[in-house]
Amino acid sequence: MTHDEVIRKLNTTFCEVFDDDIELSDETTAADIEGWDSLTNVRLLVQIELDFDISFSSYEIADISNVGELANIIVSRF
Amino acid sequence: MLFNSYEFILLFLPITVIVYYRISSFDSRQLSLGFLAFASLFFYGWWNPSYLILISVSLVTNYFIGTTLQSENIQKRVKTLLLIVGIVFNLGLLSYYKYGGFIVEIVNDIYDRDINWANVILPLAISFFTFQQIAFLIDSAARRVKHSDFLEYVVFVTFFPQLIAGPIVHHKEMIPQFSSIKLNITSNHLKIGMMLFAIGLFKKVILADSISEYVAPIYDTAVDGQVTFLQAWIAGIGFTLQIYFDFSGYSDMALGAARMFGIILPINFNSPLKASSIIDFWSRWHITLVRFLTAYIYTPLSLRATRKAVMRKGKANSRTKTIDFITTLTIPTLITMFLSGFWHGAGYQFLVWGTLHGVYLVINHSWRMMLPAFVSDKKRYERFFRPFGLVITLLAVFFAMIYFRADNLEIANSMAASMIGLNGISLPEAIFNHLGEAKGIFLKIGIGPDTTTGSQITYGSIYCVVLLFIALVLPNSLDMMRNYTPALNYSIKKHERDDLYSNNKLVHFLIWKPNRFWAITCGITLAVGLMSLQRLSVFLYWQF
Repeated sequence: MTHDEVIRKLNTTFCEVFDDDIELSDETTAADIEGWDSLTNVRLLVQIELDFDISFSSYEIADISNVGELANIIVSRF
Repeated sequence: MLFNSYEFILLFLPITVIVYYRISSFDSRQLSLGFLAFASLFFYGWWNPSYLILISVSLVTNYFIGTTLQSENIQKRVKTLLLIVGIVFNLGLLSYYKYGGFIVEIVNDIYDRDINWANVILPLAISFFTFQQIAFLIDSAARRVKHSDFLEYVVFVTFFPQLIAGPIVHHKEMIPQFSSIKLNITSNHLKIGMMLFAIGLFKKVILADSISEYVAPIYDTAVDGQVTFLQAWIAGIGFTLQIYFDFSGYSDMALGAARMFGIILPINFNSPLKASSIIDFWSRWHITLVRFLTAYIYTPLSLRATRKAVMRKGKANSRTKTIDFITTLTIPTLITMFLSGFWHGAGYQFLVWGTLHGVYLVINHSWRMMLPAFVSDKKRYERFFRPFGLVITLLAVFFAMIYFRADNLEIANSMAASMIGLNGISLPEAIFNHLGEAKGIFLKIGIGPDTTTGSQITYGSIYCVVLLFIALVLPNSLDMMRNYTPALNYSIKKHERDDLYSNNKLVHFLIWKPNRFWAITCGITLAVGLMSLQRLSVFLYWQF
């Protein structure tokens, strides 16, 4: 998958998890999305695992600053 | 060495900055970093040179283990073992120096013994550099670390602006800065750095230290007996404001000092009292510590349980929903906040403080989860509820802070009891005397006059009001400097952008630029701070 494809697919997941119309970009952070806290973060990651059929290890996702970094980790899986 | 001392502000900092600028003309990264390492270790060893042995051992051991963990040729089992050895080493040092006495106290309490633990002097900064290096080890094992040489590593851990009391920096935000350390520093760095430092000094020396003069006597009273309802409230609100400006001031001084060397540290404090929920509060108070605990404790604990919960989403019944709620949220949150309390101090009162906040968070998250059932219009709800949320959050924070400040659990409980009116509710004597005929009624329902020192209550209240205004209404130092990247990861939260950029003249007035007005303001602020240094000052986050 390319980076852009990942972002587009992530967008769907985000909209579903946060029940809101969201437009993701590489620079999107938790401050930009209402309701993205530590609890919903874990839910989000698990949903991403299901949607992309991948599995994260705990320390891989320990320190993601923005959506761009998240996308990079996913891209490296394919 | 403390930031708020003459030797630091008038000697160490200026000399270090000047020498650093001279050295950068040699255009050698090694030399520049070497000097920073030397200065930082000098700074650390100032109080007690024997600490240097401890930190050197820690640095060398962690660097060696970390670098080994980064290698590609290492077997998985060896890697895990080595990582555990590394973490145990770090936590072991921390436990010995910081928690030895407390652990013995707990053992004594449980088993009714009387073991003696000789008081070990707590080495400075040990909580900070321990956590910083543990993060480094874990990320090395996950191979998310770009290799750095030993010199870069030393500066990363010991860089004096962040060494003593944070922020807890992450290697990936620091190493690139040290690798490409700008050898031609612009004068803007100095100006930004000085402004931030001046603001921080002012907050610490003028704001925090003034209100502490009204808080300390109340805590002293509590040692011998009860405090009144009013006193407890002034202590709760006052201490919260004291530690707020203490920590906020320190964070600003750290940011400022680092900036003078062209280094940008991560954000650690962002107007926490403006939070409209306790969840929001913890995204603004001690941001780097919360970041660490969330990444290495909360998320791993919650991840497995959440996978199970999401798997059975379709087939969930009320029993499994309760289990999921406990395993995905309640337990990870309570453990994380309990550990946060434990990290802050070796005493039962800190554990209570941490656990209280854990409970607050669980309640807050539960509320958020239940909302969609009653509220259809999220935006209207948020606009309406925000002021209530703000007040509830403030009250929760004030209450829990009583525990943070008290010397022990007994005093804390006594003050907390007074705060919720268990020891009677009192009004200021002056106000009570004006009640006239109604006095009788008030007395009947248990509200009486407060006969403790009138001026203490009056001045204490005034200080609380003024400082609360500053904390709740004014833009903070980062907001003021926002056109010049004052800190990493600083971003204005979405709902605040509209507020801040609205027709708020005060905000526009208080935006920093490198012009003469701000230069003069900086000078005055610094001078005022310097002149007030003579007063006795307690720096709270010092003991970590």
